[in-house]
Amino acid sequence: MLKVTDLSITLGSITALRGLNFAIRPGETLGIVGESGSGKSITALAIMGLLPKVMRASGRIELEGNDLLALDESALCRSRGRRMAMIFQEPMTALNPVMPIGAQIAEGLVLHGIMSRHEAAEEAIRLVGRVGLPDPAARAHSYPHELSGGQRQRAMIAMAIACRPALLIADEPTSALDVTVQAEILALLKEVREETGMAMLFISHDLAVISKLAENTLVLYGGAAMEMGETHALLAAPRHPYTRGLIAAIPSGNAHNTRLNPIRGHVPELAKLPPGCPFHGRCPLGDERCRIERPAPDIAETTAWCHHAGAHAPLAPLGVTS
Amino acid sequence: MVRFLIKRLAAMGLTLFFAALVVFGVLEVLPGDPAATMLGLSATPDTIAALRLELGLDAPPLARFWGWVVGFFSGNLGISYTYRVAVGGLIAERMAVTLPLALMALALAASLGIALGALAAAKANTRIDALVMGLAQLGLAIPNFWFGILFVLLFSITLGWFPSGGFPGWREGLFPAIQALVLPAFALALPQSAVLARITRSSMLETLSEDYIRTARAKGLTRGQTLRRHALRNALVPVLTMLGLQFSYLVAGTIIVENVFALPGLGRLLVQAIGGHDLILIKSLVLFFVAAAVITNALVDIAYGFADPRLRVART
Amino acid sequence: MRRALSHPSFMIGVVLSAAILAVALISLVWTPYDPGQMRIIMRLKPPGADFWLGTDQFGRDVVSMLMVGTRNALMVGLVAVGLGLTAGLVLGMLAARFQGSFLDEALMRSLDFVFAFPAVLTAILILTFMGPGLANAMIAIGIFNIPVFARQARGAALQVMAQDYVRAARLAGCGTFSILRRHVLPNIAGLMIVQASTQFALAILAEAGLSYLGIGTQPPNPSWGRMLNDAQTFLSRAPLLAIFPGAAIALSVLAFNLLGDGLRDLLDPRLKER
Repeated sequence: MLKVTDLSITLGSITALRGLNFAIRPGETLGIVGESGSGKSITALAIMGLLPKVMRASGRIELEGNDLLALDESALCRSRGRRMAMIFQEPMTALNPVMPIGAQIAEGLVLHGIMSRHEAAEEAIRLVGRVGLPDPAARAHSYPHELSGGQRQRAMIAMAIACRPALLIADEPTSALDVTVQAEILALLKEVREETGMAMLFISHDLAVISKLAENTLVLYGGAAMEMGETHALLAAPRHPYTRGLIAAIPSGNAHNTRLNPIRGHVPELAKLPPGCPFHGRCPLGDERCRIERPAPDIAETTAWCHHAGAHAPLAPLGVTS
Repeated sequence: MVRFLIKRLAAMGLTLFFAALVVFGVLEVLPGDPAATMLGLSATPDTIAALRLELGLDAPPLARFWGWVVGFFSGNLGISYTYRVAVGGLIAERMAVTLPLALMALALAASLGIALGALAAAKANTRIDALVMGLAQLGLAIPNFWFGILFVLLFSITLGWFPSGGFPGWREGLFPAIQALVLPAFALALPQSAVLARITRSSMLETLSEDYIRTARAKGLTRGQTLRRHALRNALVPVLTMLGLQFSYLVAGTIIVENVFALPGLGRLLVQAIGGHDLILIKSLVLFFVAAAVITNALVDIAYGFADPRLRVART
Repeated sequence: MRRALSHPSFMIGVVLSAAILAVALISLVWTPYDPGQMRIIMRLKPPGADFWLGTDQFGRDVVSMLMVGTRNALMVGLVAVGLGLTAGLVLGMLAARFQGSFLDEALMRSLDFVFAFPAVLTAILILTFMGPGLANAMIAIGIFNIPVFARQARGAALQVMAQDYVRAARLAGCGTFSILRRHVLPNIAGLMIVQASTQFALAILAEAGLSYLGIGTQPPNPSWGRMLNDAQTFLSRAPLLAIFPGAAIALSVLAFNLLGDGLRDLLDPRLKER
């Protein structure tokens, strides 16, 4: 359904994303996890065709068989919102403050010629109710500032699913919300995915959140894929040192006296990355070969882009207790 | 909302009252004997005494002030000393030139300024942007009366398309009257449209970097649709404020531009009244101009409250 | 400094303003002719070898008049902005120091009140009261400059005084005036200079307008606005007479506006990113 082949993104001489490959089938969710600067958000923007003008994308992004990177702007506009939709992190600022939310939800339906203005207004009210806002007819006339953060994110979801897109991209949809609200929004996303059978690309810096929703997970670091595979396999037996580090850094809810294990060092600047594995500088197993030579995918239970994945595989999830 | 409305209108009334007090004080109380000022050097004690009687100057200042303020509401503002006609009627008559002129200029300035500013923002950091902003910088530098003179040179003297000045009156038909107002309106509007273009551009650029613009694009709106449906309205809030201020600049600007084109409006009347030391006319005219400014500013504030739903809630 | 040199519009502003200032200074010691000298037989001459830009309706030399006009315009700008800046700075800083007090309220309300009057009208009102003339025009324009500077000074000073090091200085027992002079003033000076440059341009425009109406600079003292008014009578016979003074006004205003915009960009790099 969505097939990304050898996607690279450059900003001048800087490579922000190198040679990414993945695919999502209808009704499936792929989680992309990574720190800020790992390239997860620009991957989403590249699929939507909304990269800042200064960035260049190469490779192929096929949605239902069409290469999006080859489409012109007007064809992209026809797909955006209709075939693929996106939810953003910041529900506070992602909604237009001077437009009632009902109108913002109906807008896409009318512009894509799916419904008349009148029908779209009614559909917007139905959607407001569908995403769980109370008293939908009245809420549809509310302005964003009259809603709470969670309610706004619900409105964003209503807006994104309005045209029944084949692909929904959710870029950190819960990161700005309270923990209890987070769970509700995740449950809602799960519901609508099952209802509509759409594919979902779920982006988060939080592996724990991703594990609740995604069948498959892709771990990104420094603009390159580290490890990809079924989520449960990746969590149970991570083969890449970075994935292990990420799992070790998740606080486990029941153990008060366990120490958290942060990954040592800092995210390096993209401009200063060596040709090899971007993680080698912080990697406990990193050596000279890692610095110079780009690792080939090592396919086993999961696919790991690591020179040491074969030798040490599978590594047990370290560091939860020690 | 109602409370905000009442508060804003009360503030406006208070400002107007103080403005009247200042104008009256500066023009009628401070200079000593207004009658002597009006008559100038040729005055004899007899003529001064006669004028004092005519003006009712023997009444205490406070009573005269009160009479004047009441006159503003009843339209009875006294008799102009130089024109020998009722000031109220004179102002009403001249207003038929100044108000259409100012409104025409406002419409021109707003449409030109907003369109060019939006264009520059949409094409930010391109040659078109640089060209528009360069023109705006030039428009800021050229005074409206020089624009007027240049227009007369080009469109009246050289091309003969428009009259070089004067006003045929509305009775002669709509077309010649409007034709007489076109050049002055453009002269007034161009510098203001430069200001508006700059504000529109920067406000637009700020709005275009907002998250909800990206949301709109993700919904499938084209760049143009996003600009029109989402950016423009938000970007126009500061522009609207400026537009209100502009109207008072435009009304004040008519004082000069009407003199360039010899238009029988309020501005020319004011300059002639100053030339003739006609204090009775001057004080009412000045207050009239101030009132135009103060009232528009209040209206803009109120319109602002309606345009932005966030403010509407915050203020109720 | 390198940034300043590579900011093209700022450099244009600097060069233009310097040239204008030079013209004004030269006019103090030398003009081609006496700008007031009339020669009726030489009236309305086109530009030529004797009179570079021609003569006006009284046969006066246009170049000489423009040069002295430059000096007058700059003087009005200098005095008016100086007056507005000094008074505005003092009032604004005092209002900021005694923020929320009766003094602050009264000051700010009365400045709002002056703001409510359109600037041209304030000047006309003042000139009607004081009589026309160059000196009075300077004062009139200066007065409507006060609220502009006062508001900005107050806002900027409030920001500075909220900084920790000013609070610390206050706690250490520094007096009001020493804080204003040593901490607040140096921090808001840049902003004030930018504003002064813009107001300078506006003052030149205002003087030209008032002189055009005949209530600014009085003849025989030449001024650009007055020259434009005179030129209008002879517009079809000598159109160039209406071009030169207008161009002089536009160039000076452009120069000081570019200077102000450039200074703002240089002092606040964040704004330049746009």
